Amino acid sequence: MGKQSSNLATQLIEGLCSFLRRCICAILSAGSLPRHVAFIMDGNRRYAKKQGLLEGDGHRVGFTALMNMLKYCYEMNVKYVTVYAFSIENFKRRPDEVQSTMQLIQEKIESLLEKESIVNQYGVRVHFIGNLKLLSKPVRLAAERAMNATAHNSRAMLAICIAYTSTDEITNSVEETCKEKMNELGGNAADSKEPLIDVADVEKHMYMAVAPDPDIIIRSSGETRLSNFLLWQSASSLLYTPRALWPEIRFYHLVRAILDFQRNLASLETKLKQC
Amino acid sequence: MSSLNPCRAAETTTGDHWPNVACENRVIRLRRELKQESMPKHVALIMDGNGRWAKNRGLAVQEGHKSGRANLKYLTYSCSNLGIKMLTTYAFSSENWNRSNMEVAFLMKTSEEFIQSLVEDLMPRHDIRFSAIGEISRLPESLQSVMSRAEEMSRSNKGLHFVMAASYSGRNDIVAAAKNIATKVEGGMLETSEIDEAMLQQELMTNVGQFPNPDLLIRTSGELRLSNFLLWQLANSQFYFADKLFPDFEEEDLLEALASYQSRASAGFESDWK
Repeated sequence: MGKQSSNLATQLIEGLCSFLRRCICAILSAGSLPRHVAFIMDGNRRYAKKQGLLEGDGHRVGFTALMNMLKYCYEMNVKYVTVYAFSIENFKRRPDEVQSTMQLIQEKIESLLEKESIVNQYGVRVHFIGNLKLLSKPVRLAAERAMNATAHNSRAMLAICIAYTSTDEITNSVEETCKEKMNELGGNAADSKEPLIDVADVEKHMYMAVAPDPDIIIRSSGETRLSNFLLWQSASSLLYTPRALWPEIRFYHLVRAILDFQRNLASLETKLKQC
Repeated sequence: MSSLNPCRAAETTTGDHWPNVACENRVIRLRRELKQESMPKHVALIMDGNGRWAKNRGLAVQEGHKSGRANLKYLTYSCSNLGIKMLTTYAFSSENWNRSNMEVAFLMKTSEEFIQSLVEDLMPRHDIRFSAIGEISRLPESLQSVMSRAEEMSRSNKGLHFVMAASYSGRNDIVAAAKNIATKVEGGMLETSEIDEAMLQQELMTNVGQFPNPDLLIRTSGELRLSNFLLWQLANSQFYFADKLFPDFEEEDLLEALASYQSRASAGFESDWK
């Protein structure tokens, strides 16, 4: 009897929170909303230490926080969300830590494909962004399965950066652009023109060409660095760095980021008018 | 916002200056607390807020730029004294060409005057080296020749390396590097499979300096964005966003930025990303 009433209480509270969030979303929609929000999920390990948990559990709590943030973003009609899950630099960590993180990632990728997952609830197309050849076979296969399974979704997009650094992405794009230009020039050996490369050429070969540039980049845990994340794409992005560790991130952090975004947009427009 | 974001400096609301004695004491204290061995080697600076500074005082925007340039000279002198090896400033972005002809012409002129004063004043006393990066060919002839003369005369100087980014765009920097690499591939000197990060890094415009990647980026006037400045090079840099408008950003504020950098760099905790 006691358990039933506490379940009811939890449901009521969840329902109330959901209603409040919808109200706040409606108010925020009076201004422009960002199309694309990117997250650097920093602080899982520090959170685990702080709470006296095992390191791997910090990542698990972090995953729950991620699912919540995705829910809030998609409820807010933010169509594109990008997250920095695993940097190429992270491969330099202790082998047992890399192994357990990869196992967790594989487990979570597979959970995304379950019926009740957020991906199906919001019609999210999933992209895995990075040098996927660096991943172990089971993880890479799980990622490819997830991409294929969600390829027909079109309401929203989730880009998961894994085995990723921006400098690697840019270098790969330059290599692909050079190959393309060589193929174009290859036909005319006598016509030795300098290869014409412009911003659009480099941009179209980026792994992140599947989404527009992020409007806001949020890094948790108070660190004020990009750590080799979306460097090319961040040229005009608003940077927001709440002090909260990633598992501590909440809806109101997203609200503050969006309010900042709306305030900045207003002052940018005034600046442009003055030009 | 400031209370949530530990890296932001406090704003002076009316542009009032602290009483001189208190200010001096604070500067001396901040200087003493800095550690020489953890001084950033390369500091990048986005000098934002000249226009707003002028507007707040009911002055023409040109006065803001004039005040900004004078402040930059003073900050360069401070950086040189603090043992910083490289200072890269975002003097003029590719996007700034969209401003009014009058403002653009004025910016070109103040840049010229700034370089001249660097040559006449700071170079002989502090052995400062000057370089310019960006699409220099778009700049007026007179500015181009002042730049190349300053570069020539100071090429072997061993003091602070002052880099002026003029008509610069981070994306165009990467594209220009890509073009250089493509030309080498086309000429048969290189295979596409040999293209790697180190190669691309070397082709970037910032390769003029000994420490091409900034350790610390400071942006004034409260804007929290990179605005297409040094995108590749800022991969692992610390960002420090100050609320003060650039002409108000003094040595004290610079020292606070450096103190913030040093405390973050030496912090005991381990971040998920290095």
